[in-house]
Amino acid sequence: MDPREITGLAGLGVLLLLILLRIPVVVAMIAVGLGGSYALSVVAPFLRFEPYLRQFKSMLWESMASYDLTIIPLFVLMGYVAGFSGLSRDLFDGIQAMIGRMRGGLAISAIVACAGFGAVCGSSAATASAMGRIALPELKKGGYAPGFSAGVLAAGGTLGILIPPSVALVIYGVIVEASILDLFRAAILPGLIAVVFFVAVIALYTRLRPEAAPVIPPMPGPERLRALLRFLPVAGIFGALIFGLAFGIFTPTPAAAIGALAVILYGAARRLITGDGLTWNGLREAVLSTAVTSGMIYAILFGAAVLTSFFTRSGLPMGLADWAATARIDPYLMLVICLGCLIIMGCFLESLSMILVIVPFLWPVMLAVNGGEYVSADQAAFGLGPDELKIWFGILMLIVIELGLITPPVGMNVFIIGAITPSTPMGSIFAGASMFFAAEVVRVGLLILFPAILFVLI
Amino acid sequence: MTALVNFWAMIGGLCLALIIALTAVNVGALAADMALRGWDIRVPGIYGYEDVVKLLASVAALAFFPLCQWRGGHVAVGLLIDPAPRWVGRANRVIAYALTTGIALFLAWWMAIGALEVRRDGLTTGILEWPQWPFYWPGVVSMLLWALVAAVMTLNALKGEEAAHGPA
Repeated sequence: MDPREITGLAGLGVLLLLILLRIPVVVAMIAVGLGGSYALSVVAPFLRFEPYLRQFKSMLWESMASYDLTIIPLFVLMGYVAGFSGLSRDLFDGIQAMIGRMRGGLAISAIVACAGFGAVCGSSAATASAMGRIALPELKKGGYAPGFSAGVLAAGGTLGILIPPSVALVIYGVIVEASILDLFRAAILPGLIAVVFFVAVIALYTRLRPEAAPVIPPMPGPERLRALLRFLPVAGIFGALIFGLAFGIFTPTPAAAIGALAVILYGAARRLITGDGLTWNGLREAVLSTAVTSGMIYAILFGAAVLTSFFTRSGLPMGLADWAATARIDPYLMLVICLGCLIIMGCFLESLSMILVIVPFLWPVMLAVNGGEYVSADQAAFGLGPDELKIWFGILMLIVIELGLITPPVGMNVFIIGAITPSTPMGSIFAGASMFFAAEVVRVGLLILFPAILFVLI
Repeated sequence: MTALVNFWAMIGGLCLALIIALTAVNVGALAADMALRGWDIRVPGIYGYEDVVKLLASVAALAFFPLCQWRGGHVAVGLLIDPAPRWVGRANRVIAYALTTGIALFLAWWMAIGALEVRRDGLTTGILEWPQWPFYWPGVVSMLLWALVAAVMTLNALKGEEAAHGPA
């Protein structure tokens, strides 16, 4: 290792330390980027600090003035408006009206509703929070075991990170310069597979332990009809978004804008017809909440740009890639090691920051292991060209990062659900979610063995 | 402070609303164009649509930073600090907010220099050829406001007051 790479490695260590010391991730990234670049100019004088500083004249504005990134605040807005306008309630009630009466039906309704809401809001935390507030009281009323119910909601929330439109996929796409539309299309089938697996887990568990999920009486006829009628426009919005993206009818930014508009109109219409839809105050709070979430994401994206610039100058990512290319480690073993590291890191770090900090290191390694930037699919170690590898690795990575949301000690989704149901011990929520962890491991294995699943819709 | 950061974030929200409206019109025009093509009627999309979206997005994104700071929205992992004694948490907040103030001022300074240079160089958007520099200044204001918010939070943390401020 040369002094530049050692400086890069030291920078990575300081960054992780600052993050663990609760320094805001964006501040840690910019501070390490600046400090590290100064240190580089000392150990390698040809890497002058002045030119590095001068890029800040336009770097921030140019990072923000991005057409592709506009989908982030638009999808975030759509998610918040959906929450404030009662869309999530209509979604859950509609699915419950259809399948709620079968054994485990309420839990299955919650999983399907989580997938649907995740498709609208693109955030795991928002999905867990919104659906947890709606579904948990219903599950409790239905006599479902508290730990099982909370575990279902915590795991169901993870569906939001992958099912398009997904904010995490947009960020990954920006970092590795992949087509966001292709990423969205590739994520649809793995997302649906997750729903099927989660439903299978619930069916199996409730068959083995019927007392955990009693059969509930069917919804009365008029109530059922009302729930189904309210579900129709919600299904229309979801369907239009998913099928529009899958079949290339629209690109992500128009989809985000039109989706946000559709949800606002839906909430306004619900307010006019039923009196309990989107209010002015609700819309205002949705905009302000969008500002907070989007501000966090934009800031962290800029922080990552500053940091990546430092790491690139240090030569550390390329040094790692060179090592990986010559290390004679089986490519699949390398992939499993990378995914294993992500699972472990996901237990301690927040998912977006992890993508931004780790991907600049892991992506060059995966690319090198696969055979380099110009390798053809038939000669590549994974049988995928570089563009396909970006998509495959991105989806696998997001799935394992999702696992961190239901794994101790951080397990953000578990804490969100725990806050909604304080009487349920955290240990039993983690236990409830652990069944789904196993299903996710199977899904990862399936996608590693059959990467073609991802490319069916592209 | 809450009213100020909310107002500034709502300006960003207004930019988002404009993006939504422009996109709806643009998508409508493209859909009409596809539908009416058979009758040899062409409906053009909005000229320079992407340019306008980029400019509005730049204003919106940076306008969100101060509110995000005020409501404690920036991601932080409290794994080591949360279980520590209260004074450690307080000292940690003071350091984090002071560092944030410094970084926000640093960004405001360089962005202001950038705005002057972009004006001098006459940089414009790709299609509409609108000058870029006027859209730098809302960003500079956002960074200054971010610094102000972080400075106020530093003082509050020194006095031992609440770290972040929830919805008003």
